[in-house]
Amino acid sequence: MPSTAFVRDEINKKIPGALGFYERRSRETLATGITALDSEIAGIPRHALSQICGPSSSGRTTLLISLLAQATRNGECCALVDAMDRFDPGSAKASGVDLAQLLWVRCGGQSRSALKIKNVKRELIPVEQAFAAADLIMQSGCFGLLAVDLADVPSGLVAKVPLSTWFRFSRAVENKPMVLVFLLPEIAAGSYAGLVLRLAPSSPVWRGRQDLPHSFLLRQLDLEAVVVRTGDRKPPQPVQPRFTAKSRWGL
Amino acid sequence: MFVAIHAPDFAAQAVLHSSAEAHGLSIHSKPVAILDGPLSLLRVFALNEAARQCGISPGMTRIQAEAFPQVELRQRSPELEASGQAAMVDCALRFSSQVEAASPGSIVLDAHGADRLFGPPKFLVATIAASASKLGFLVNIAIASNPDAAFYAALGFHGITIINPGQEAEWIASLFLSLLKIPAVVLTRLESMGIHTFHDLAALPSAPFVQRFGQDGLRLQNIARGRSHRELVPVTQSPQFIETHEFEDPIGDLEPLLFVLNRMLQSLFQKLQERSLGTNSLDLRLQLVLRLDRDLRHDRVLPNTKLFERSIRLPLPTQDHKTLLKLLHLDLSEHPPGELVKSAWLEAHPSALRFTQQGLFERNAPQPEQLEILLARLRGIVGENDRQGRDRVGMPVVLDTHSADAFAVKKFQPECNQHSPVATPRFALRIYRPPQPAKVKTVNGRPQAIGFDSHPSSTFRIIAASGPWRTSGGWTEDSERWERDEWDIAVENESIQMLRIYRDGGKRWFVDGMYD
Repeated sequence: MPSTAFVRDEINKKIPGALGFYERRSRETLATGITALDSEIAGIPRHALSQICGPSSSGRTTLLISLLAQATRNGECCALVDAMDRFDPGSAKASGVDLAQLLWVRCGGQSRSALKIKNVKRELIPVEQAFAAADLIMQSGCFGLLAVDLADVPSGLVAKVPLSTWFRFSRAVENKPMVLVFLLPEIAAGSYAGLVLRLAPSSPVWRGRQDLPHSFLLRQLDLEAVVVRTGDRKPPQPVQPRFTAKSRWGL
Repeated sequence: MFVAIHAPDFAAQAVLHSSAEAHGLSIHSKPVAILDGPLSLLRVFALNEAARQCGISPGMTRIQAEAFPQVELRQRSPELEASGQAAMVDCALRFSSQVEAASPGSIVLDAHGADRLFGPPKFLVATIAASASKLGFLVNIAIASNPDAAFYAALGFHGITIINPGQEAEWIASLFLSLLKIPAVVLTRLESMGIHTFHDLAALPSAPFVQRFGQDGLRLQNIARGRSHRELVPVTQSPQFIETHEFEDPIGDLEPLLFVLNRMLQSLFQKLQERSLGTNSLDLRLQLVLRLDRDLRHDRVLPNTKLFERSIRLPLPTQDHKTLLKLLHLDLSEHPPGELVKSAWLEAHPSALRFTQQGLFERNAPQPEQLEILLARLRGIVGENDRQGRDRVGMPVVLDTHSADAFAVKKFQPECNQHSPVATPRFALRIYRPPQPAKVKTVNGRPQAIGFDSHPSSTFRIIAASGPWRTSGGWTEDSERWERDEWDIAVENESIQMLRIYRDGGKRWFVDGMYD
């Protein structure tokens, strides 16, 4: 009759780590630069897949650019995979992003590799390119922040991304000191996301009188984020940090 | 002490050396004959020992040589010979800084003091022979106290010859005068006098010989007596890092081409490493063979070859050939030659390596080599340029102009800007590229409703509008003049959408982007 230690050794030889303990990493985060949000969730976690979702004009891009500004200010190299080519460098620079440390990948172009993607609908090609580019950047492991902007991709197409893809990304980022953020119109990755922020429709704040030209100005957007899921817990009563983003006239 | 290295049948060995580099195989057992002369009258110019054993001999015409099917016939290539000679000089430079290229396929080097590094002469010559063999050359090596004795011993004796000081005359006595670089008239005259070997020449009395043949005669006699004393004429030209390869049959696939390019790169980088150099610039030139059907279709005479050139640039010099091979692979995958490749030419531009010491507390930045490969791969996925010719992968740069969506994309070379200001969050704009045409209903010049050309049946109410903000530019040139009236609007849809719209000089409305 073999001893327990012998059996344990044999199993370890055949399946290393099968009887080991999985140590959860200590939570490292990158501050978003928005005080209301950072005080609630302490920033966007590294080693995890995060999602920022919401409808149009809800402040998803504003939040992402604030995050990019924080990361570049820390001296980290960032990468932005822009599926629909919507990024505005002028907005980013005005918000304090150091563009010299930002790698911008604009999907949607024609390449021989893109032509090899067969049996894929034309509107899905930018999504395919975005995931392929994100995969490469993540494997390189030399960026502190990787953002994948799928915010303007129709929800139906995002829903077609298989769960195995999200699972693969969430596992791949586990061993990398990287913040991986997806901008999406709807929540998509299910339980594989370490953090899910859903932004509520924004409320624009105007100043001045509409009947007087040039005195009626868009001052700011009042934004509200709902923390749907964090790495530590799924809050039974979601917290809803509120913050504002100024317009070009509101400074 | 002087060491002479001689590669017999050099023209044939140069071809074999090129093939050996390309295939990584020892192919000296392969019978090869080199043809030279006008195309109408090609004759065997050189051949290796294996071809000689097959029965072929120098001077045979091409038709006669083709009667030996087992012998591979190749045309003489001055480029391959120059490449082979350069490889031999490189090999010699590993052992001495004073190297003379005595003749094609022959090198003489000054080995004074080399015993401290390599030990006694027999170890030195063994090491040199091993290095030459690794390069793909079968060489004769001789070591002697003067350069001429070593040179002629290497020319005349097979394998390794070690001549102790004072024994030069004895060793080279049996060599024939035909080895000496003298005019044919002088050689015939000497042979008519019964002087055939170095020994015969050395035994002649000096005074009458010099009276007949002058100072050249004295020099020849000193060589034959093993007493020649001269300074080496060292190789002075700056080294060129060029590799060439000519394919026996033109190839069309990328994989075998990369296989050959890999060998060429290895050889180039070996030379660079020997000089503690790297490269950040690589030029590839392929000679392509145009297909005949194309000539027929155009029904006119076209050149049957053309050049295909690509360049690879790195931000920093590297000594890693795998990086450049990968970049070549990615570049040729995106820009294939499209025709059969007849020959390849690769040149690395040398530059000094840059060493940097990273700080303990600095964040990890991408390694330049890895980054180049990553960027090339990304370009392979998303394409290289957009319709305006701007790169699809790189670092965004905001241009100093008031025109809308004015940016450039430059090569990504991260530089940490420690003084980036802390800015208040501003809501960002998502730009539509190109701007979306729209139909806007206005009342007293103010937008009231908007419809999109992409959804012609729907019209959306504008609940608030701020503007117009006029911008214009390009005043000096009519063709470049532009102006636009911008509005910030809130549109009532499922939720409130904040858009930036504008009306151009032609009174057409466009959606510029969405605030998000």
